[in-house]
Amino acid sequence: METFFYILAIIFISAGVFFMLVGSIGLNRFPDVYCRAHASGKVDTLGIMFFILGLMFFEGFGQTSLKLLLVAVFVAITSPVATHALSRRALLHGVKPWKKKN
Amino acid sequence: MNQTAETAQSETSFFRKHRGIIYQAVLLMALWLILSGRFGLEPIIYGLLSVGAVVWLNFATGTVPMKTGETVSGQCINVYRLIIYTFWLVIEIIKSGFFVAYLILHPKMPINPMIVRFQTKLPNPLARVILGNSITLTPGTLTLDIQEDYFTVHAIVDEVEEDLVSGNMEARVGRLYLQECKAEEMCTDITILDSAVSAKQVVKYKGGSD
Repeated sequence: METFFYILAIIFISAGVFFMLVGSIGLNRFPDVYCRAHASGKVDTLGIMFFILGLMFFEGFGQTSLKLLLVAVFVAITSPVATHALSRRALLHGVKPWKKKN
Repeated sequence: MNQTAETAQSETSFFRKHRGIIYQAVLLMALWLILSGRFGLEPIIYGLLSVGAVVWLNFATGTVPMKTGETVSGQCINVYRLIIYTFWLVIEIIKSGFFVAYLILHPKMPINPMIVRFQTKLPNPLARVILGNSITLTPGTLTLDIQEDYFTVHAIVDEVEEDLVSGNMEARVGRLYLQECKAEEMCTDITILDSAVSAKQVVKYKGGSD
């Protein structure tokens, strides 16, 4: 049973690392502030969630995994707020959005 | 708004009136027990004292008016619907992460960004905060600004914008408060903005409240 949980933990932590890497690639590929906010705000959130889920499987059920669940909830609440604050400030400051050339 | 007022008057029980405080106390106590991890008599007494102090400090925040004259309150939220909504939101987080990751890893990067402003009529500020967070978490959309009833939203692909303007998600948030909510009424006055300059001019920006 422990081996099964370890395998699950490895799978989820690998998925989390992969999504964080994809988010960083997106930060470099996207053309303007708003699209980059999409990349960092969504993909990185998912990566952190998967990572924390893998750590919970690694720990087994107990006080530590409950604390990790609290961290996941906190990230899920704060990440959209931070994304919104950054992009709103950019909009009010007058940063022009990138448009596709037809 | 009238429907919620009538239900609140018909159920003026003690639990209904002080529901927010009771939930707050239970959640804070659970947080204390998780973080302390000890179940002796002394830690629990300390926890009760701290929870009582925090609830007493938070008691006044439900009636403090904001700049616009409205008060933030979760009095009329339907709790069972809120739990279902939370599960739906977790699924949406996973979907949006996979969607944006697909856009990033696609060799041609098929993005077509646009900025949309629309108006929805929601009863109070807390509902607007919930809707703003939900828009940011659903696939391909990002809340840029909220001014009174107007939401400014950045969509990364133009197909995503059609889903947003159909008003389904706004109706979901509205059903947390109201008994019934039609999707067609929730999304009106839709304009597609060309530049950041026009975004500032449509609604007069009051400023100061970040």
